[in-house]
Amino acid sequence: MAGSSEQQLVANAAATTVAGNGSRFAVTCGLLRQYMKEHSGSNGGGGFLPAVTAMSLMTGGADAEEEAPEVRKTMELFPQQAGTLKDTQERKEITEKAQLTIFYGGSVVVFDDFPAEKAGELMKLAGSRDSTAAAAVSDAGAAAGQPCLPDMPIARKVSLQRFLEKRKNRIVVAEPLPESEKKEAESSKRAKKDDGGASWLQVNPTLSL
Amino acid sequence: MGGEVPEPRRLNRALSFDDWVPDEALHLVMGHVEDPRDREAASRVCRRWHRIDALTRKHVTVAFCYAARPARLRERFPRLESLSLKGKPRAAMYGLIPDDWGAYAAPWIDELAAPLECLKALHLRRMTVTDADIAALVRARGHMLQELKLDKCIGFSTDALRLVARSCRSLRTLFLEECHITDKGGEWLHELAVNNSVLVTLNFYMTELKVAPADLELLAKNCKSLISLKMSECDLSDLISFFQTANALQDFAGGAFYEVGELTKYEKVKFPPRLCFLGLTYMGTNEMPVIFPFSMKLKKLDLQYTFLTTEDHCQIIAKCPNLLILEVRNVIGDRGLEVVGDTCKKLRRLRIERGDDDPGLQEEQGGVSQLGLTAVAVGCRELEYIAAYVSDITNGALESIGTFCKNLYDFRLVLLDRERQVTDLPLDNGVCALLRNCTKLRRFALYLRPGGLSDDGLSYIGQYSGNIQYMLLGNVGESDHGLIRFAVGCTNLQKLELRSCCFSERALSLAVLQMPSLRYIWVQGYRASQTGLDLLLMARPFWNIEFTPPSPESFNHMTEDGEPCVDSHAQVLAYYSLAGRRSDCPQWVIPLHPA
Repeated sequence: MAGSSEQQLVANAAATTVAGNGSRFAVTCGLLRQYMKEHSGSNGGGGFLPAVTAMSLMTGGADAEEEAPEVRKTMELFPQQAGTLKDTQERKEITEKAQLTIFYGGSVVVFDDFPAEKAGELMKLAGSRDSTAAAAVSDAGAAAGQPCLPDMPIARKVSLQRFLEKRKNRIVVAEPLPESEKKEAESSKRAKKDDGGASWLQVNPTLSL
Repeated sequence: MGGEVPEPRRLNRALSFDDWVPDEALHLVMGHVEDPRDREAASRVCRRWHRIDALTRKHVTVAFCYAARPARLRERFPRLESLSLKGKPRAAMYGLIPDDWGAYAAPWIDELAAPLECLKALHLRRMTVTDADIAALVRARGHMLQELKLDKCIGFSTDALRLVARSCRSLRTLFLEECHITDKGGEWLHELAVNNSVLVTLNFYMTELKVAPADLELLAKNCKSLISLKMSECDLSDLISFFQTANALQDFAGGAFYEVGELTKYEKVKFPPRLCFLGLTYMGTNEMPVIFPFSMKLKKLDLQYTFLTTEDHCQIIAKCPNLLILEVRNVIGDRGLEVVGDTCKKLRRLRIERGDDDPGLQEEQGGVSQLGLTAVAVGCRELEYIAAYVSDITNGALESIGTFCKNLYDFRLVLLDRERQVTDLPLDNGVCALLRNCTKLRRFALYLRPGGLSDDGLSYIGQYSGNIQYMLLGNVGESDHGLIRFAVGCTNLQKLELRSCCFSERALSLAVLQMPSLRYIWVQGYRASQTGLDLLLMARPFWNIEFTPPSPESFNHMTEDGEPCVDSHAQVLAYYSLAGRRSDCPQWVIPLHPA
């Protein structure tokens, strides 16, 4: 199931690319890359020279030209903007011991130098229920009726928040002067004290709730 | 975009001459290819093209500073002239990321400043930059530097600016907007005025730096080329001499009206003849007439930081038929937007920020709704960028935007949570229509409330995401199923931010694995599993996962403004990286990885 869905994704991505998603130049470069791979033997002076695959994680970012061939193959896992998508076997990183982090009941526990074998067992135990994608889908179905998280307040830009604070202060103090900033602050405080609990004097909360 | 793809036969014939194309010719051709995606595709053709691309690449943007190692960049692009780096997650602009999160500029400057001999433009965004970093940069590149942009950065002081002013005499652009800069005196501006004669752009807007008007006047005298000045607050009446001297000035922001209600002082202000970009602070009803004499010439107007009422907005905008860019708070109201639609036929960018939640005396109730947005959509058909905080919205309004604003490149909508009643939810059909019609969209943001968008609507977003590369989604969808359907459709999405959604960790992980182009995801507000281990389902090679647990300790992190970071919800950040795991995580950021 996973394999077929992957192939479908690859087909979709390739179709999208060919359909003109990238610029014509980018699409042509993708085809040229394929061609060079197929015909590099005839073009080369002698012997087979594998084409370097430059993978960029970000636009114009660094690539792995000078990495070992093994890593170079692995990096073809990254999405390609043009040309073909290619399957590559994944590289497994084997470490005997590493840090293990566990979240449970709202607390976080971190172990250093935890044996990989025991960590694997622990993960199997933790994931013993609903570990497959199909189960996840049914899980999603079950979750349909569950309430969403309580609303998180909509955040406000820091620069605009700063302006609105100043605006409040200026409204409170009639015609403040820049030369008397301290006096302005003092009178502002005094006004707030004088009016005690007046709501219109309250500083606007950073986030609305 | 796109078009005819060459047939294999024609390609074969063209390439039979490959051996005859000299490197010099390829150098020349590559030099004219500027689109970064085209460049990327060209570099993958073969080893030879890769090498020539590397030698001819002049500009690189590193979209996330932890995605690559500085040394890797240096080795690959040894002749870079311009570098842009982005740091903290965008949520930092909203106070959701503590200042000590990371994104330090030091490793990049230490590694790149000296060896990149052609580097003359550096742009850092949302990064931590220290005086020492800037000193290192100046030591290595001071004589060559033409552009220095520090955008929303923190960590440095005016001491660093003095050094820049003294040593970088070729500087044409100094950009410091919204940086938090420790002010140790205004000497830096005097040094800049004395030592520089080629400055074109100076921007320290929304900093709190104090400067002397006399130094600005001196700067204008010595830099005849000064076109753009955006400064911190300074009383407008103190700038009369500066305006008389800065004849070439086209773009100005930051002057302030400190004496409200008294116009005599400001009647003498006369703006330079070519001024067409303007933003004035604290401008109110009585101060508006200052700009009437040249309102016809205005192409950009920034009214975000004014004291204007809705009626004031209507009056001003009615006099500005040539606006290309307009930035306002939602006090403009629907009536103001109707004036925009009637008047500003050339408008390309419109930003409607969120104002006070408590309108008070000066502002009308209601803010912006479908009425205003529809009026703008119908009237301003050249719009490329819309960002709006609205109080009410309908499917019809979104459909209108889709119908009339075919050039939209960037669309962002936030539905404020103050109003209980919203006319028309869910917005599934409106969102679908907008995305289907606005085929040029590259960035899309939709922040609603529970019930604002169903799983079907979320599926539409994925299905019609087209070439969208960046999305922010808040309070959308109903279940994990909706997220999966969304993810299946997003073939080109590179960067995703999710906030306040109800998806499980497992669904987030599966969604990440479904999106082939995704490089970066930031999530706050999700359904945590009991163990937190479901996030590891998205583990894969070169993919870093960083978890910030919800904790009362979050309240202890203070921003440098002294304001607490008030948000303590858990955050997840995951991204591709060639650099491996971060080595500079603060204690409260937990990297997740399989044992």
